[in-house]
Amino acid sequence: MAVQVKKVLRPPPQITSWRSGLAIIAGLWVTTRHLIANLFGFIRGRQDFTVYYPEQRFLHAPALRGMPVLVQMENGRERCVACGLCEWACPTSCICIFPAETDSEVERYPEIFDIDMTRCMFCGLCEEACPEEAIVMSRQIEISTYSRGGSLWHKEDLLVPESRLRTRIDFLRSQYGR
Amino acid sequence: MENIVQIVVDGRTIAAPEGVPLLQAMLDAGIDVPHYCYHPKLSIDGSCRLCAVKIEGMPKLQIACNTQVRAGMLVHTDDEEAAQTRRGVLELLLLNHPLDCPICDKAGECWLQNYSVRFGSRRGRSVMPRRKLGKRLDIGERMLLDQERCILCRRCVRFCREITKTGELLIFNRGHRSVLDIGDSRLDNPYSMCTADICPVGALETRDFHHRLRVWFFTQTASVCPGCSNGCNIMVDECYGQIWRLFPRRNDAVNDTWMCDSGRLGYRFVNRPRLRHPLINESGAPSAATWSEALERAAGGLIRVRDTWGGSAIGALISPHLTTEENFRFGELLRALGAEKLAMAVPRGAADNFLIKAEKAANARGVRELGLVSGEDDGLNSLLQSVRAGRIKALYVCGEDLLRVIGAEQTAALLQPLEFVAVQTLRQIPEYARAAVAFPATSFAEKNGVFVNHAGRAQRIAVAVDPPPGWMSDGEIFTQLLNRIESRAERFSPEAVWSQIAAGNPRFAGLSLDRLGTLGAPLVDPENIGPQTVHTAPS
Amino acid sequence: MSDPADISPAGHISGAPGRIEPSEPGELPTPPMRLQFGPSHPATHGTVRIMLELEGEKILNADVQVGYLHRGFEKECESGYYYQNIPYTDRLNYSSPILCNIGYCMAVEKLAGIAITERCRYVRVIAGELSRIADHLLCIGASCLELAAMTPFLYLLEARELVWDLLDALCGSRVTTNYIRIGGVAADLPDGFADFCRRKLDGAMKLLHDAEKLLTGNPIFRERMEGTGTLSAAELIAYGVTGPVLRAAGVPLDLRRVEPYLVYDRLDFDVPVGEHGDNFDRYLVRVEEIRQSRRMALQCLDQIQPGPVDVDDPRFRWPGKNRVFNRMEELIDQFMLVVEENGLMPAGEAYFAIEGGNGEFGFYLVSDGTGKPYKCRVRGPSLCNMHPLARMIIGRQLADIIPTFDMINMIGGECDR
Repeated sequence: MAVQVKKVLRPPPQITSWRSGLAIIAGLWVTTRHLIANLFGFIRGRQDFTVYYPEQRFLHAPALRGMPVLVQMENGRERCVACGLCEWACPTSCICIFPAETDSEVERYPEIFDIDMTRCMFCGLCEEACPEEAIVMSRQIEISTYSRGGSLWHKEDLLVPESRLRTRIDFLRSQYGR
Repeated sequence: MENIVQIVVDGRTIAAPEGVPLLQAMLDAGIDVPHYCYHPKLSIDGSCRLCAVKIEGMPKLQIACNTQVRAGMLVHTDDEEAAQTRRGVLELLLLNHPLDCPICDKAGECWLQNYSVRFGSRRGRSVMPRRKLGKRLDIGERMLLDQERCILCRRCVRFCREITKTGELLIFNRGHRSVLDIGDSRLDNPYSMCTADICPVGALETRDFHHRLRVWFFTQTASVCPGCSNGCNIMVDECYGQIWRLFPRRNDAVNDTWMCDSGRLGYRFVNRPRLRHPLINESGAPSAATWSEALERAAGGLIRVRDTWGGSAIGALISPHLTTEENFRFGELLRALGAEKLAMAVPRGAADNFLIKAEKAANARGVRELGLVSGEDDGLNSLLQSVRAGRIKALYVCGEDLLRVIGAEQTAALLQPLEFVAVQTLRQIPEYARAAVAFPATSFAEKNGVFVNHAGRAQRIAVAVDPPPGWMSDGEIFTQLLNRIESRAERFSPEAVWSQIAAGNPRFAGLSLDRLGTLGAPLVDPENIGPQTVHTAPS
Repeated sequence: MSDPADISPAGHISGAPGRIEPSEPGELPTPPMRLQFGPSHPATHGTVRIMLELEGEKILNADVQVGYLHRGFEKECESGYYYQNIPYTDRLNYSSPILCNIGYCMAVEKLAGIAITERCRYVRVIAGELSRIADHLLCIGASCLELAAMTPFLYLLEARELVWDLLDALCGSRVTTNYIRIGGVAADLPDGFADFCRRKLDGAMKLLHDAEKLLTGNPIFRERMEGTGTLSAAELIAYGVTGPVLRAAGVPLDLRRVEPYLVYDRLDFDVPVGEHGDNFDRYLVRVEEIRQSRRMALQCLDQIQPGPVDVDDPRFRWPGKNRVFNRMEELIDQFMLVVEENGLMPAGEAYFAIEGGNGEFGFYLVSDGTGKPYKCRVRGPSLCNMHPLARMIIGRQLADIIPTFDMINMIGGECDR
């Protein structure tokens, strides 16, 4: 078995005070080192660890699960055909869809597609359930509003052109082959 | 006479009548053998081959639908060869099936989805493009056809040929070119929407339900269609407080598995603008009122007329749409007032020799069985004469059938000279504006009760949609009025009233609600529609 | 050490306060002071209420009340399908959410009889160990903060940020990870993850090393932590305590060693145990566990082979989107699995426990054959670990509550569910 049980090492009990003094000096050396690195590190191009939001933004990985949005095709229509799978998969029931008929070749479209963002927990199950690549988790994570009603997003608010969702769609497509 | 024999299916012994299709025997015993083309009410086709089972003693697999039960059969449904056949059939059916699940209304109740998951191969192998046929074809006033989704089970063809005897739908061409289409006539028979029920996939869809809502949201309730006195057994689909769809359920004694299109579409009135609160008319125009105000006014008005001119000056129009229990309570109320002139206006329309009946109300016979009305026209002419002669001073009108039977002008003229009019309707009717009190009624989908159909079969209806909070059902309104008139303090309970009816009226003897169940039961001696036994109320 | 049979529950504090008899003649008897170490307190993270009876700074009696973060997780699970409950498990131990996901999904897989692929096992171990590192970093960091050592707090949180960058790359979210699925994981490791992981972990280890320099030898820290919150191994076992708290008392109980699951039986790692069972040993055990978790994660990254990460079982695992878009059978499968038409989970019950950040994290699932669990019971280690808190602090100083409570690492989500 490659699993060993190991006793943790405790530093020796401090009989003399010079040991504790040494430990304090060692600690001060650590903080001084950090201080110098932070103060003068900019000379060698070191970046602050802190991201100065909102002037700077953190660059998230492509896997980021932001707000769910509807993909808008080139002709301006949504790709969604109101199949209702995202509505059913959502654990918090934040999606409300009422389908309706169209005259075009794509017979079905969502007349009403509402997402209550106060209930949405950005879990991404709607995106996983969708059989049309019509709802994806965008990279939008700043969604605060001044009124409670502002958190109820309607279809018009949720439509995002496909070109602006390239990062996420590419990430999803890299996973399609499983 | 049926000869019941024993057969063994998957090690289980079941008893079945000799000669019935083996598939039916297995389905009746609760063994879910997959099948498409077989339908208990249609002729046997044997085209889908999905119900293949292994019967010992027969060399090849047999289709259970076209094999008759014989004593001592040993059947295996889980045989490896049968399972492989099923997988093969399903794979071939799915080969050309369009990828329409997201837009197909049948998703959630689709036999292809259900069987594919349980018996299919679960892995698609085909890379060839699928055949292209007509989609969303307009084949009838109420029906749409998608030829690509059709799995050629021919149930609809047999339905049109054998049940409606109109033969609109046909399969054209042969082999892999087979395609379902209408021939010379469009699919417009009065039962056309039944084809959407029997179609296992989403090939035949009703326009009424096209792209409305996903079926997995529905709460389903067993009830009875209120359209005519046939009383077809239905299921009511409800969601978000509205009714979205009705479809038939099987009752071999009433409607087999069918219902007519007008009954099927007759749910919209439940959702449409309804009278939502009682109205009082004191100043010439109806205005909203609270329940207690309206009840006081109604009770006061009726008592005043009774005290001034006697009970015989009060007349009533009983609704054939209310349940038996509610009308029983209405009868008690009218008896307490001393009213004698009771009538019922039953709207009549076209009938056929299948399911559609002339009386377009579900409970006309129920009212007659309670002994509340008599005569060929249910006492209507006599009541109208009395009103016009001025012998009736007050009228309690339930429902808007009066308008449909004698017309709007006549109705307005009828009500004009009356001292006191109380009405109870689903909607606000302009011709009833003169009424001193207007109560909102509940529809068939909002209450529990019993309807008696034309053949004397008592069937239960159940609450599918909750009425708004604080609402009173029709029976509760009658009870409240009765309480005020006779100083009682009763509540309306359909179950209690039904027990009362079953105990007091020999026609209803022995018919407890449990006995009625979901399929109903006939009254005692239903054929005899002779002189009614007048119900004697317990004192 | 006192006899474990002698354990009595801490007194319920109510009614009129007692009396402290005067210790010297001439003094008056005094009532002890009642202090509510309340649910809203910077040090009671995870919301715990401790009613204390104090004589000066000495604790006479303590009544620990949990449940302030009860959100009805088990009831909520009964109204969601199995796949819908996975995001809710994130919120149990929100410091190491991937471990909660793993525990739940493995319990479901045990119930359904699904065997996951090799690659999936490795990916789950990698993600789980990263999550454990984050949990321990937070525990030590928050403890430092509450002991007024604010500098190592920031170092350790920066280290946690580096680990969170890894989780962000894996699943798109740092805390509500929702990464594990029944029969697989949500997404395979992204390209270049091995190097990315090594770099970030190296950065995190540097910061941990610095924090250790500030803490382990520091006399103030040692004074506060050594000898406080001590309880013997026998007593801890009697209370049902598991995890680093128990290991610090000398009991080498680690589910990854005694009941290996996933690929733990193929990895070389040490199980650190302490000796004295005090807060300092718990701290040392956790620091060493961070190093061992890193070792395990790096070994997995070496050993992992390319291959399918999701099990090819159409009964439970949603099909890949390529096939859903192009094949009829898979499209039907997607519909049926999302809507759970046929209730594909067999009826029965299963219990599966993993080694969570705080100990044995178990899920007991009861299925009635439908798509929703009939019952999902969570054995949250924090609840069991909180039992002896009163024993640990009664008779000690008020200030000893802080390191004791912090080193137990009670996570409100898994304690109260």
